[in-house]
Amino acid sequence: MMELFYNGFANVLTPYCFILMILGTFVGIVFGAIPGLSSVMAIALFLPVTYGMDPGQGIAVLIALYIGSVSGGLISAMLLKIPGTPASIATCFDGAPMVENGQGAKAIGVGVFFSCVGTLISIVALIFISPTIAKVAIQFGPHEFFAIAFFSLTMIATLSSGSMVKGVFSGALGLAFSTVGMAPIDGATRYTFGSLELSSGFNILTVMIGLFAVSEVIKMAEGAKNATNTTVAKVDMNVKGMGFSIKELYGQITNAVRSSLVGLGIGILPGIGAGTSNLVSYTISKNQSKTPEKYGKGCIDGIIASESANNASVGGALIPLMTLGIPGDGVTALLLGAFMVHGIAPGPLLFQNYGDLVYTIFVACIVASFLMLFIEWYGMRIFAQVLKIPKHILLPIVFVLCVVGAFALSTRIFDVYAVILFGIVGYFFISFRIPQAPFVIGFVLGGMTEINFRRAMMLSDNDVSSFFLHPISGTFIAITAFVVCSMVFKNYRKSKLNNTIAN
Amino acid sequence: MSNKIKELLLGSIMLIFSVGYFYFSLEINTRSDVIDSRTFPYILSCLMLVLSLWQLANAFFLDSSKQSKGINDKDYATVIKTAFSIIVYIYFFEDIGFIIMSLLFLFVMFVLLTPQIYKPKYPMYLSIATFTSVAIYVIFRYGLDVLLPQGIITVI
Repeated sequence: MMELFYNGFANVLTPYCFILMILGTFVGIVFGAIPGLSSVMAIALFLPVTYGMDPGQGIAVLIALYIGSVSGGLISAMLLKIPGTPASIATCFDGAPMVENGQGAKAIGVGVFFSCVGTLISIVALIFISPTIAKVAIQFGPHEFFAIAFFSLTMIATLSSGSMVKGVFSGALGLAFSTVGMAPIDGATRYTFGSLELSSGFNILTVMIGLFAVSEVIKMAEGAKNATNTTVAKVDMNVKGMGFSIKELYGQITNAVRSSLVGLGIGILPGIGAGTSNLVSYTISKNQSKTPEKYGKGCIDGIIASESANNASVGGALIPLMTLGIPGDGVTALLLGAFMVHGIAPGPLLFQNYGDLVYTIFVACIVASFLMLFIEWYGMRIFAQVLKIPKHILLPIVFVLCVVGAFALSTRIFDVYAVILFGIVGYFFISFRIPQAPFVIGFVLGGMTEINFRRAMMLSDNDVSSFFLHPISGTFIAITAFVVCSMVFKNYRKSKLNNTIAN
Repeated sequence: MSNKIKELLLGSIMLIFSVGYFYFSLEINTRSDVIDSRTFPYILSCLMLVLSLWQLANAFFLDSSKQSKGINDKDYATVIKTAFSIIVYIYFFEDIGFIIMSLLFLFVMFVLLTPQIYKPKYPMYLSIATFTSVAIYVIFRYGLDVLLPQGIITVI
């Protein structure tokens, strides 16, 4: 093993490969930071560049792009309140308030550092226990996927700060929008109103851009004329270290490890990725916290939960790809393509027949994590200069980039109209103080919940008890029931205490 | 607008959406199976209906003297102009082309969103709008191979 690691380092740390990885990480961060551009786009664009390279080096560059783009989303999430990618939606909730409170450098430092930590934890799992994890993952069937989705959906209640009714309605609305298009299994058209474009449903990117970017522009318009300050945000990057103390670091170890494991677990399962893991991890972290009321107002716990999980999903997604040849999401599907272009078939024999390549990929993941840490932290000094552009100039330009991103998805004007629709929905949410996070969770998980529920029912002849009889799904449902009961109990105790104080 | 009226309005919108969602779920082709394409929308519409009635009930018991925060500070005229600009931009995006529409949109937005305490700098706004539109088009079209609508300018 040590010899293979040594060979891996020798492959990755050649000047040519190392320089390309630095470039790849930087480009990935830029793609992640600009709302409308995505990891898939970055890798799709650079895939042809790697054709002529050595397989290990080519895949190393693509991994650098992947890791950079997943982490880069935190930049716009914190500075512009617009997540750069779906993987950074939850980072907005606490990152943006921290920037507004003058703690921008700390928020960014925490986000970047724990992105690196999350990636490294998932890479350790990838290196040492990936075949074992893959064997467990392959046992997940429709019952198990439904149980996980159901568990994640109940977390909506945790995110419904303020009004439970509004929060749950927001989640239900997200689920409702996910039903638009062709139904799973039988392909019946739902809520398409005869439109061909609506048959394919809405894309998560259009939902995210509309909900966060468009609504932000409209919200800005409300107070634009009376504004006295034209600065988007002020971030002073002249801080000691990375903006947080050793005591804070130690205090967050449990949160970081738990969030990374959540991200790893979710990343392994095909069809779910960093877009879901950051939200689920955030809700679990909030649920487990002794001070849940601080979440959403600017606390590092929320940022760490989101960023550890989304980057841990990178390693998680590589596990089924490398051990079983099953891509988990769009990015790993492209990586599978990269393997095949070089004449390599990922799967159980990859570790046996291409040991050098496998360890080159492991080393590339480790090196890319540290490159991401340094480039993003020190590159923030450049990104922070962008914030000096007045709000009324910067936000419309960001909006145009979002429109380009939406249009570029499928070169359809329909996607741009969808962005406007979700912008209106987002503004409606802001006006009536309805939380947006449950909507995103509902939308992301709606399709997966329904299709797996229907498959499970078909497999078990409409026997609902089958969900409890399968060990893994039964465990998740039991955990869900426990979490719901403890939430209800906590709320009951809190309202009783409030009544006592009032009396 | 009082808080009570705002919450009642929200409850009404929720109710209308729930009823509409349920109504259109009846148009979904259904089979004789217990679980089919209509099941999930049906469950969701019932859930949303219950929640909207709950919201209306909560709103009904609110104190009508409490006012919504900050409602009078909002410049709805600018919001409407912004929304109109966005709609016009998207509507003509494909026909007129990305460069011209983005240029016009950016210029209009820069002027619209300039705070009252500052004087709009029209030449600067026009330069930034032109440069940004052309730069984005060139970078995306030739650098990233992303097709953007040419519209009436076919030379690029």
